[in-house]
Amino acid sequence: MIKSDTGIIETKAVAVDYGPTRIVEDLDLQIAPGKLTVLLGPNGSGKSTILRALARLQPAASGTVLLDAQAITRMSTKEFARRVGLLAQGATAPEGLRVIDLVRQGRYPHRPLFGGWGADDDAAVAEALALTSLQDLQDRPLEALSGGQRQRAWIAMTLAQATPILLLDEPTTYLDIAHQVDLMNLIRRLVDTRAMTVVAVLHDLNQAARYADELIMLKAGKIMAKGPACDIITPEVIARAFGVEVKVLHDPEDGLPFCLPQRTVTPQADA
Amino acid sequence: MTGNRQDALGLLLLSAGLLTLLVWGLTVGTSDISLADAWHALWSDTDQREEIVVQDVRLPRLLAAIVVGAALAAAGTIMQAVTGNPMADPGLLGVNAGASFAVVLAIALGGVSGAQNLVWFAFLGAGGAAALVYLLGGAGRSGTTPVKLILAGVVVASFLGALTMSILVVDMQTFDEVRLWTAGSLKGRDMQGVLLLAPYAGVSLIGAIVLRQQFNALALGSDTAGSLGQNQPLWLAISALLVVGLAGSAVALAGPIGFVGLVVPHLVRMSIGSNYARILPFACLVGAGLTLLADTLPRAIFARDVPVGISLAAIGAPFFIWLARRERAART
Repeated sequence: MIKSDTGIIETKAVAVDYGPTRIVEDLDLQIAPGKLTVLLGPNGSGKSTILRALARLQPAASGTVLLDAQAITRMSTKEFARRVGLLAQGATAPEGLRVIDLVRQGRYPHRPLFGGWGADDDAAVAEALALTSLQDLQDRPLEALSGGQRQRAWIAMTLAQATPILLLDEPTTYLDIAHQVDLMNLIRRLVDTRAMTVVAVLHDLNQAARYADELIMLKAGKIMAKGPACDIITPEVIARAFGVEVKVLHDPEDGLPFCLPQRTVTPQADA
Repeated sequence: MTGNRQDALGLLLLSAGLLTLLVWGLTVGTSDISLADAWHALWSDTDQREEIVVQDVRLPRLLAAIVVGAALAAAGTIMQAVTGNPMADPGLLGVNAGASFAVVLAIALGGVSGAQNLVWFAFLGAGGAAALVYLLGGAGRSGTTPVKLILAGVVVASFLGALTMSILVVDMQTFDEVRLWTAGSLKGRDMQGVLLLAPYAGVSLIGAIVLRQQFNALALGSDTAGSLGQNQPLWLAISALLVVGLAGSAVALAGPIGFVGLVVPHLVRMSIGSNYARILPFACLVGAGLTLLADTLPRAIFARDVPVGISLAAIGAPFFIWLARRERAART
């Protein structure tokens, strides 16, 4: 049910305003299809804004966001939602909503206005619950779940949406380390086994280095550096982006870099 | 799905309960009419006294209670879903006050009469007040928060309530016409009025039931609903129209009755959970039953006619306080 065709999402000279302030300017971004791309950068660098622009929640002030070479503003809301799913930051559900009822909402873009619930809807929901190991909790209300389980329920909703592209805004924030590892492994599995295109905003540089295929370092609304972890998690790039001096070490087994922050080197203008 | 069958059974039982209440209500009043006589009088056509009491006095009043209760409960359910605010209610958010202000204004200044004309003023007032509350509640940097929305609603409701009262104080004739009505009363509804207004409420109710799946997506908030592909401006506008149609026709029929829209969705949610598509039909039946009971019970127990707006406030106000305290406890 989860489609294997990969969507290609890119931006051409996109600028995004938030109120009177320009957050993102002249952004040309190609997201690698079938890969996990992580957006990194200091607070206020435009990570979430870019993700929201890709998700069509934030209109571009100029330029275009293209999905499979078609401007996203020219698609119907439902057509877009069949191809791109988003887990927004701090999403809330009504008190007492059961897991199954939340996950079923993921089928919204697949259902006609007055249409009933079909077998493919049931199959998609069952598969999303299985992928997130929530079958046993499906009848629980969300607030009875732990933070990690609740986050999995929201992910399950976006998986039931069955989109080739998935956008995640800080999915691991507020989760303890065990839940973070579970969630990142799940995301990795979706990319590896289903060739889904996933774009995630993460705060943890080491988590990003460990799981991502491609890292995009942002600063002040612009792409500062882009590439695999070994090119981005370097003392130079991180000092430039965050104003922090780091020691970079490498995992002796797989060679992936990780960093240990030492001290701030320049006062940050915009925290 | 077994859940569907359970729901169908529940709705069937509630409908049967409502019907029982309705038949019982026919026997309650100043003159004693037994169940058998009331049932007989309902269907006969001989112009006897009992028949007039049952057919022209009691039945329209009971039907009005059903229509008003169902409409307000549905309006409250939709408002709670759309605003993400468990305290939303057409009374608390000023929609009822707007509708009754416009109706009183139309009677006092325009000399408008007849339910079929006044209902349009009720719609206009309900829509105007809803828009005003939404604008006030969304003002400021933090956007719309549940507390700001309620504050805006209370401010608009008391302001419009005060304006309504000042018109009535100045204009004694209008006051006499609408005195009972502004307290929220079903007394003296005739069948003609009920039949004139029921279609407006009915169309809005059918619309709400048919479109009930949309409220679940709306309830997840604009970001999630938007990323699920819901056309937000369209569905917010449709929801607002439904609320205005439901609350406006309820106010035109019975005046501003509060708390049904607040209490009923919560009662239903406690028993079946937070799926708005399931809540809505249950809320209609429970709202109808609660309003019917609140209108009839004082006459059955005290042999006194208490305006239903007042008896419902007696139930609803403590409930609101309990709810507000619980909300605060959940937040801290």
